[in-house]
Amino acid sequence: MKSSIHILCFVLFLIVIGLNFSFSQSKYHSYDELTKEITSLVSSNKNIASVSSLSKTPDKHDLWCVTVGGKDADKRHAMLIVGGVEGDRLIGSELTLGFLNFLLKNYGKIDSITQLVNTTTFYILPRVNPDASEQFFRKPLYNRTVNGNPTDDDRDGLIDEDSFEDLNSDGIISMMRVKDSRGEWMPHPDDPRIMKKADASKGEVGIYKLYTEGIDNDGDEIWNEDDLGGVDFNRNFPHNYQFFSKGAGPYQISEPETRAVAEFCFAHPNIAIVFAFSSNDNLLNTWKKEQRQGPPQQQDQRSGRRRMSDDEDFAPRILTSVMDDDEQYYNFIGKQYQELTKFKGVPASSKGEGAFNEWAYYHFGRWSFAANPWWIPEIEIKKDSALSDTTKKQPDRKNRSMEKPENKFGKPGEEKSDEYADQIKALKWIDANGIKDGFLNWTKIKHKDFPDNEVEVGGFKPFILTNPPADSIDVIAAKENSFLAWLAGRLPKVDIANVKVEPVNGKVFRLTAEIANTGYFPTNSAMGNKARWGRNVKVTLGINKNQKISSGKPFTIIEPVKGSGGIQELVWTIISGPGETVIISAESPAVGIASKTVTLK
Amino acid sequence: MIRMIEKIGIILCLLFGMINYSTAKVEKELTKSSLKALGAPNNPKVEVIWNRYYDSKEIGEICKRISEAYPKLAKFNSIGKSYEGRDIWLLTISNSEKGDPDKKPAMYIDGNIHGNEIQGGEVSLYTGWYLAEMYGHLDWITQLVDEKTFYIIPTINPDGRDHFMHDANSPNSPRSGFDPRDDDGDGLIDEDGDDDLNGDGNITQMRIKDPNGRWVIDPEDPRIMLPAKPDQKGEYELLWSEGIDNDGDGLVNEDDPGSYDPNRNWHWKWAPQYVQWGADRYPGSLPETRAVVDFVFKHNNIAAFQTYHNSGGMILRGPGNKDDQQTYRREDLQVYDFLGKLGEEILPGYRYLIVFKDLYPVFGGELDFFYGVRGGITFSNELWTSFDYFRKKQDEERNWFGSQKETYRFDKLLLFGEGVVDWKPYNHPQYGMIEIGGIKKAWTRTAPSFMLEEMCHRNMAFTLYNAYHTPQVSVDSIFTKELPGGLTEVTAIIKNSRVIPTHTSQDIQNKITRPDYVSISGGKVLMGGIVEDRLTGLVKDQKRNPEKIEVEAIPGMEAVFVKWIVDGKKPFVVNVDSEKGGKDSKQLK
Repeated sequence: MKSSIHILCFVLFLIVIGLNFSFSQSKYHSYDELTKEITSLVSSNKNIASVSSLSKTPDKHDLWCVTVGGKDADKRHAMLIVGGVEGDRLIGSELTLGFLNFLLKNYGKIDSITQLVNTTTFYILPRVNPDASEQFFRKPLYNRTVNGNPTDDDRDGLIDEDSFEDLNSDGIISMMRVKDSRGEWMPHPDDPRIMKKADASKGEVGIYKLYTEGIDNDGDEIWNEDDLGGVDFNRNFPHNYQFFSKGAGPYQISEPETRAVAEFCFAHPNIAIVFAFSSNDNLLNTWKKEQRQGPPQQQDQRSGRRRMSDDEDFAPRILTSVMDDDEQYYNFIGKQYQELTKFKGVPASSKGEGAFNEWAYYHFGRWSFAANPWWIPEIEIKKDSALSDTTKKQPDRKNRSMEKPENKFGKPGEEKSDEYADQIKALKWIDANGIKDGFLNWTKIKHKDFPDNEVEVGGFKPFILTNPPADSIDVIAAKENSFLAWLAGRLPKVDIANVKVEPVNGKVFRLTAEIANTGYFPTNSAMGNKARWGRNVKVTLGINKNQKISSGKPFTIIEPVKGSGGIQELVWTIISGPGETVIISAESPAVGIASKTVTLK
Repeated sequence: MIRMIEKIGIILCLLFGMINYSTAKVEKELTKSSLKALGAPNNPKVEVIWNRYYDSKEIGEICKRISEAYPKLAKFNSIGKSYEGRDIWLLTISNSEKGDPDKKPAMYIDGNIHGNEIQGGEVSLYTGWYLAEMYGHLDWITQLVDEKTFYIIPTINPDGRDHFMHDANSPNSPRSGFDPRDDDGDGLIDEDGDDDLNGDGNITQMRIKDPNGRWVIDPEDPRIMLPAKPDQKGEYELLWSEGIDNDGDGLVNEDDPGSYDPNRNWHWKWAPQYVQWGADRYPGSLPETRAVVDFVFKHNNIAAFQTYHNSGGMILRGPGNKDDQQTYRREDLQVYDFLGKLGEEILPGYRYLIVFKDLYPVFGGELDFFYGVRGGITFSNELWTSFDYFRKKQDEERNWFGSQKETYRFDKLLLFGEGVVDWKPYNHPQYGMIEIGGIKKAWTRTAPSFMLEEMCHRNMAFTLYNAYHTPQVSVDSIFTKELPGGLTEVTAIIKNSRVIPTHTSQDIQNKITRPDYVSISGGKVLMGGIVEDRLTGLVKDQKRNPEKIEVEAIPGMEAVFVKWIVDGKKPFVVNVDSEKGGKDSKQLK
C-alpha cells in the first residue's frame, strides 16, 4: 500500500511535468514526417540519442530504431519500446514517438528523467509496420495491417488479384451492402445504420449481403479476398502462430520487419523489459495463470517391444499462460497502470496469434507489457476525450475491477452478449462529438457484379474505431509517458552486501557474501530463466596467482534473485596470505554490474 | 622452387577463384575395364572415387565437374552461404531439353544437416553423378531424368561438415553448425569445447587409474571399458571426453562451438529451447535453414523430399510429435507405407519407422517441415546400420550404433584395429596422469571404405523409386459426343500414373500449391466441370473459366474425368498442368 502511494505521487508529478512540457503532437505522422521528426530529434540530442535502420520493408521504408542512452547504451540494462505492431493502430506508433520526445526534451531538465536516462537505455522502435500504417495517409483509405510483401491470401495460385475498389469515389474503402433476400444481414433494430446478422432464434430474417467495397476482380464470387500485400507483423511471431491463415505469412518470422526485430532482440541481451502498444493488452487484461494440466501420464512399460526411447508419450509442453512466479509482477504492474490511467469500459484483449508481445515473454523470456491506449469511450462522456474527463473522477477501484471483462488469457476475444454494442456505442460517440464522416451513410451505387440488386456503400470510416482524434493524443501520451518512465525505474539492480570474512586460521579464510537485488523486478523472470535467452547473474571471485579457492566456484551462475531486497548467499573458502584481497563481482546484461574488493584478514 | 610455383598457384587460385583451380586439374583417363560390373558406369566422364569422404569444397568441385561434363543434364549453383560463409551447393539433375527442370515433378535430396553425419553428402552426390553418367545407357534412368528433376544439396551444414573433417572430433561432434552460442549462460561464447590433448586428430575418452573407481578393463578386449559388477572391485574412473577446463569454471567441455540442433530449427510444430534442447532462437534462425526454406518455397514442383542422417539403419517418416498425428492422414500414410516398405526391401537392415513413436520426439524437424509446410512426401534415412557388421539379426545389447562388443570385434577382424586409439598415458594439466583412448571419429557412425559405395547405391535406389513415384500427369484419352445444335461434348481422362498424388492431403487441406488445371482449346466452351459420377456422367459445373477446369488433386494411380460442352468441332487440344505432377497435352483430330 505504502509503495502504491509512493508510485502514485511520482506518477502525478510526472503527469504534471508531462502536461507542462507537452510537445504538441496533435497529428498523425506519415512515414516521411516520422522520419523527419526522428532525424531532427536525434540530431538535436546527439549526446544521448542515435538512430539506425534495422531493415528495409518490402515497400522500401526504413525500420527506425532510436537508442536513447548515450555512448555505453548497449552496456546498460534496457527497455525496448515498440510502436505500430498493429499497422492500423497508428496511435501506438504516435505514443512511442511521444515517449521518445518526452525523454529527449526532459533530459537535463528534470532530474528524475536525466537520472533514468543515465542509468537505463531505451531502444525505441516507433513504427515497425510502416507499409501498413502508410495506408492511413493514402487513397483509398482502408484499414491495413499487412506489409508490402505480395502474398496469395486466398491460396488460389494468384497473387494480390482481388483488391478493394473505391466504387463511390469518396477516397475511402468502406462496406457494401447488397439487397438480397438470400442475405444473412439486416439493419440493427437499435440503429439501422449498423448491420447485424439475422438471428433465426429471434425470428429475424436477413435481407442484405454484406461485403467490403469493391468488385470481384477474379470472378471467384468472393469479394476483395486477396488485397495488396502482405504479412501482418503481429501475426508473424512464433508464439501461437497460425499456419496457412491470412496475414500470418508463409512461416514464422518470414518478413524483413519481424526478422529484424527478433534479431535486434537477441543481439541485445541487456533488454530487461519489452513494451508494446497493442490491443493484445496485458496491463488492463492482466495475464492470469491457467490451471495446469496434471503431470504427464506415466508410461506403461510395454515389454517385448524394442523401444529406442521411453518418451513415446512426450508431447511438447509449450507454455501458454504466465508462469506462477511471474504472475504477481504482472498483477502489480497492471494494477499501477489501471490506477494511473483510470480507463473505463476496458475491452477484452485481442487474440494473440503470433503476437509480438507474447513472443517477447514466452520465447524471448523478458518482462513483456502491452498497453491498449485507446478505444471508443463511453457515451456519457461529452467531450472528445475520455481521459480529460475521467481524471476528475474519484477512482472507484471496486467498480473498475467489476467492469473488467473476465478475459482469461488464452481464450481472449470471447463473444460478448451483444457483439454490436460496441458499434452502437461508437455511433453514439461519433454523433455526440460531431465527428465528420465518422460514419459514412449508406449511399446507392451501381455495381456491375449485382446489376439487378440495390447496392449501397457505407459504414465506419477506416481507422476511426481504433485511433483517437489527433487532438487527444497529447492527453493520452502524458499518462503513458509517466507510466513508461515509472516502469523503467522498476528494473532489477544488483548489489553485493553483508560481506563477511572468517579466518579459519591465518591462511584459510571463509568468505560469505550476499548477492542482493535492490530493484523491483527479479534479476530474471521465471520464464527468462526457463527460456534461457535471458542471462542470469554471474558471480565471479577474482583471485591472484598466490591464492587458491578450495571450496566454492570461481564462477557461479545464480538462480534469479527476487526484487526489493531479495538475496542469495555465496560461500567460498580461500587459501591466501593474510591481508591480501579478492574481488567479488556480480553481473548480468539485463541487470547491471556490482563489484567489491574484500581484504582477507 | 617448387614452393615458389605453389605460391604462384595459390595466388592464381585466389585471383581466379575455384573455377580456374579445378579446370587446371589434369583429368585422368580411366582405363576401360574388360567387363563392366553391373551398377556403376564402366568408363565415367567424371571420375569419382566412392570409397572416401569429401569436404564441402570438394563436393562443390565434383558438382562442378558433373555440370561441365553434362551441361544438358546437370546444373550447379549455390543456394546461399553458411554462417562461416561456405557455399551451400545445389546440383540440379534433369534433361533440360525435355522441358524446364523447375516445371517438372521434382525430388529434393539433402544430407548432413548434423555436422558429424557426413555420409549423406556422398550418398546425395553419388545419386547426381550416377544419374548423369547412366543417362542414355539405361532406359529407366533416361526416362527418369527426362521426366523428373532432382534437386540435390549434398550438405546443408557445410561448416559442421568441414570442421568434422578437418578438426579433431569424436564420431558425435559437432552436431551443430557454427553460429556461436553461449551454451552455459556465463556470458562467454564457445569458450570451452573439446581439446585434442594427444594431437591425434580424434576426440576420444579419458580414464584415470583409481582403485576406488567403478570401471574395469574387459578381459576379452583390453580396449573396452566395462562397468564393474556390483561386487567387483573397480580399477578405473572414466573422465569422458578428451579435454581440459579451458575457462577455469570447474567444468570440462561445457561450451563447445555453436551448439544447437539444426534439425530442431524448422517451422512446423517448432517448440522453443526449454521444451527441447537445440531449437535455437526461433524457427529459421540459422542461415542454413533459411537458405533451404527460401529454396523450397521457390520450387512448388517438389513433390517428394529425402534427407540423410546417420546412423542406425532407419527409413523415418513423421510425425516427430505425438500431437501431430492428425496431420498425417490415411490417404498419405498409404503412400508412405508403400514407399517405406519398398525401402526396407532395398536396404537390408534398415527399418521403416515413425520418428515420435520409434525414435524420440522431435519438434521442428526438417522432415516435418517438408511435409507439414510444403505438403511433400518426406523420408529421412539414418545411414549405416550395425546390421552390416556381421549381417546378423538384431543383438539384444545392440543400440543404434551396434553393441560395443560388435563394434570392437568388427574393428579387430575387418579394420585390423584402425578404428580405435589404444589407451596411452597422458599428463593432464588438471587431472594429472590419465590415459587417453577409444573410438576414432571416423568409426561407428560412418561406413568404412569398402561399404560406403554400397550404401550410396542402395540408398540412391530408394530415392530413385521415390522420384519415380512423384506424380506424373497425362491426358490419357479424349472422346467426343455430338450434341444437337452443332454442340460437342468433350470428355478427357486425366491420369496420374504414379503412386504419389498431385496434392497430398496436407496440401489439399491447406491449399499449399495451386490446383491442377485441365484446359481445352478449340471451339467456344459453354460449360465444363469434373465428372463426379462416371455412371451417370453428372458434372460439377465450374462457373468461372469453364475452359480451364481446376482439379483439387489427382490421386496416385487414378484418373479424373473432365467434361465440357463446346460450341465447335474437332480438333480439340486438352492440356493438363500440375505444379507437382508436370504437364501434358493431347490433340483429338
